[in-house]
Amino acid sequence: MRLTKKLIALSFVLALVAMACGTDSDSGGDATTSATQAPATTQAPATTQAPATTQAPATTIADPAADIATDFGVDDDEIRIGLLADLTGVFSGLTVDIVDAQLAYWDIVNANGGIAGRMVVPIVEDTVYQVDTHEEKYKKIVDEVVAFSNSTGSPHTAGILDNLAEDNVLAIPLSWYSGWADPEFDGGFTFEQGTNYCLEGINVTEWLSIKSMEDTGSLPTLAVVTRPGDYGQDAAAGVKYAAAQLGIEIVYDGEGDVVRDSAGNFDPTSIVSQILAAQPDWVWLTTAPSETAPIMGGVASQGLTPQWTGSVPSYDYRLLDSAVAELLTGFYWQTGYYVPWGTDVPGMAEIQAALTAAYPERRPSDAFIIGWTEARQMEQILKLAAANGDLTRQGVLDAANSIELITLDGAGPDLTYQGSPNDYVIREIDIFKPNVAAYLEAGGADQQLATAPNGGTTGSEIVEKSFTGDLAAAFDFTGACWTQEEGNRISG
Amino acid sequence: MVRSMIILAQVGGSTLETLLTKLLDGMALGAIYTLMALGFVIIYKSTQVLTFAHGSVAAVGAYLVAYFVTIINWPGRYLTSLPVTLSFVISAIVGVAAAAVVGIVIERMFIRPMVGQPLFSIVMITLGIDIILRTLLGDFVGQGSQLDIGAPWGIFSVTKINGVIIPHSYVATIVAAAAAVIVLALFFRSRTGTAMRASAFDQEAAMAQGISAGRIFALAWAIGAALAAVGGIFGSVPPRGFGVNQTTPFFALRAFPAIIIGGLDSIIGAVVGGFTIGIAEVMAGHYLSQFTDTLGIGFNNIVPYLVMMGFLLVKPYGLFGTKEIRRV
Repeated sequence: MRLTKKLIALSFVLALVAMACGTDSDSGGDATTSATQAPATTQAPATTQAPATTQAPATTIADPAADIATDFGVDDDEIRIGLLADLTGVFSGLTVDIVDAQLAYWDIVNANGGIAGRMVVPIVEDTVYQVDTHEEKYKKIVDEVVAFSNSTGSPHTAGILDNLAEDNVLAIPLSWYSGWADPEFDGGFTFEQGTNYCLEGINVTEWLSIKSMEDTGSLPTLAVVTRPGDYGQDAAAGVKYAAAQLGIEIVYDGEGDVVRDSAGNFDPTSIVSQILAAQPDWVWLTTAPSETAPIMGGVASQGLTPQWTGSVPSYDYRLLDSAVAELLTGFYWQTGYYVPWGTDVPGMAEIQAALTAAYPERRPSDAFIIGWTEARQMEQILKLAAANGDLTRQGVLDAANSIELITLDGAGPDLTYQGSPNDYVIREIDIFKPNVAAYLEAGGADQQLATAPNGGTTGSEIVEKSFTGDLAAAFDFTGACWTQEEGNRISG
Repeated sequence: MVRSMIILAQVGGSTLETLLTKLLDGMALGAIYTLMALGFVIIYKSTQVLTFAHGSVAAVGAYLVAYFVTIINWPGRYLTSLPVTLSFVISAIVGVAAAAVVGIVIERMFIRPMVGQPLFSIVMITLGIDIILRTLLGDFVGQGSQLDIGAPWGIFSVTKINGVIIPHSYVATIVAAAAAVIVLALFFRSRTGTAMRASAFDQEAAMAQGISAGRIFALAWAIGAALAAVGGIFGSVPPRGFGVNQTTPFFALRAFPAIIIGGLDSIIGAVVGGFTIGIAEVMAGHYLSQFTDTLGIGFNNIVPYLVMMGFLLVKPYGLFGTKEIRRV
């Protein structure tokens, strides 16, 4: 029995070790609330021919120069680009579709002759949403590529900024941290898309104040619930700035409170309790979708149903497959840097045709749009570099800095990086409402691109397109709103 | 008692209604820990093995239910008029039965051949099984994803009595745990249950009376796995959980303090420990949430371990554990 007791004590220690060694979903674990299987995303899609209905994306950039200088990642036959993507991890449900959309895009470009007679070859590495793995995978492929058309995550991309500078290479961040528009922060090596978290926070807070005034005649009280770091606290800085300007009372400040334990568990108990105690009219979330559901559900289960909104990555249309679908439909206001799948914009038919041809059995996805626009952005930069006769890394950077306008055909705001950041940062935001009834009527999770009427739907219905409030329009953007070193830089 | 509850409510800056609501919440969480702890204890009592595969088995049971409910909609797709809750319960029964089979398979394949071998080796085998099952679960659910299990009792389905909020899902959890305890009590009075108790008390004497130790081992693992699966299901159902994912197995490890407090080999201890830990965790989460700046986020998660350490300092064998008698 003595031995038994000792073994039990040892076993208990082992249990604690097992917990400590468990999957860390915060940095590589849980993500969307659906039965998402990670598809073979690192392979090019089966369809390598351009669909009959799809033409190569239009461009007004001049033809490639006769002689083109090259260094890394480019030879007479190929242009190799890198994708550092979290194919596993907390946001992988979204990223898998984002990467696959890029692969489909490049297949079309290649089927139409490539760029400057060269095939574009994407090299995908799974970073598992870990900062150290991200850098490791960067180093693994950096010598093979001329640029990175995807680098997922704010701290992850920030973690390779020194490497980008040292290797003099461009990266498109799959992240909307305000620091990407700040040359002092990113050294001028990242070329972001869409509204950053900070300006999104400012803009949406103003939007919800207007809506609240219309609906109730008074300003709302607000709870702010975010993840820590460049994602959550950048957004929180924007929300708090706008709340202070508009006179909105923040009744629960949960900035940085959304954390997971070492085993990857997210326990919403404390956050739910504080929201219940504060009784806010609105709740702002900067979370992962898998955290959005238990927070909203936990609050609703205790009889409180405030209005909810949050940063774009807080929501995933696949939440409509989960138990919180009705809750989302009733109370969540979804924001968007890009239009959702199926929105009536000039480029949507082309996107739908291409993705349907590449992945006929897949379901519609809003994340496809993001991947498509990333690839489109990279294509136009590479084409300009080719036209300039310089497909070296420096040539690609020069092209990105000098391009007049990167057109996304309505899928998202057009881009440029000329002038000061205050001149070119995107300030507009779209607002959508999830509609589970429409989603289910279209077939829900069983929708397939090849058979769904009108390409199917993700259940997102547009409420307000391209909203830019007075605060966001007037905001003097001088740099990152929040940094790890200085914290909130726009308070007061 | 009522007076102290009112004082506690006032200390937390909340109302008595909130306190009672949180008490119910804690009891529901405690019911899940109780189910998990009961499984641990039954396997330990009968085989002297503290299994580390318990959480994975619980997750397998929950996964099977989620698979039936979400992916193949069974039996709902064939019985369309069947109420959602009833359809879920049928799926749950099948999932729990399947988990019991998994328990038997584990016992026959990995534990039975190790009878008589050092317990440490057996414990390490259960750890290996846990890792295998967790990895398989990750493959089936998808890395970084989770499989929705449905909301058989809804999220909004609550009853309010004098301001106290009673989510129907929590009531279902407590009822399920109570039913499990009653069924177990009745089982231990049956012929087979008596044989299991006899075997747990003195295996050699039981065998001399014609009781098959192997059969008892298999039965203990089946019951333990089934209880774990029931706990895993309620831990995955909204609003406690929102589906099955790779972290679901860790729910069982959170029940460890419950079995330590109750005493490793005590059924009553598992119940008392489970509810104690559940209530302590929820109360800490609520009443200490305003002190996160000082205590840190997720402080409530370490409260069960603090409670456990406090108990062990006073009662080293747990509240109901068998004391070890040593000859000096």
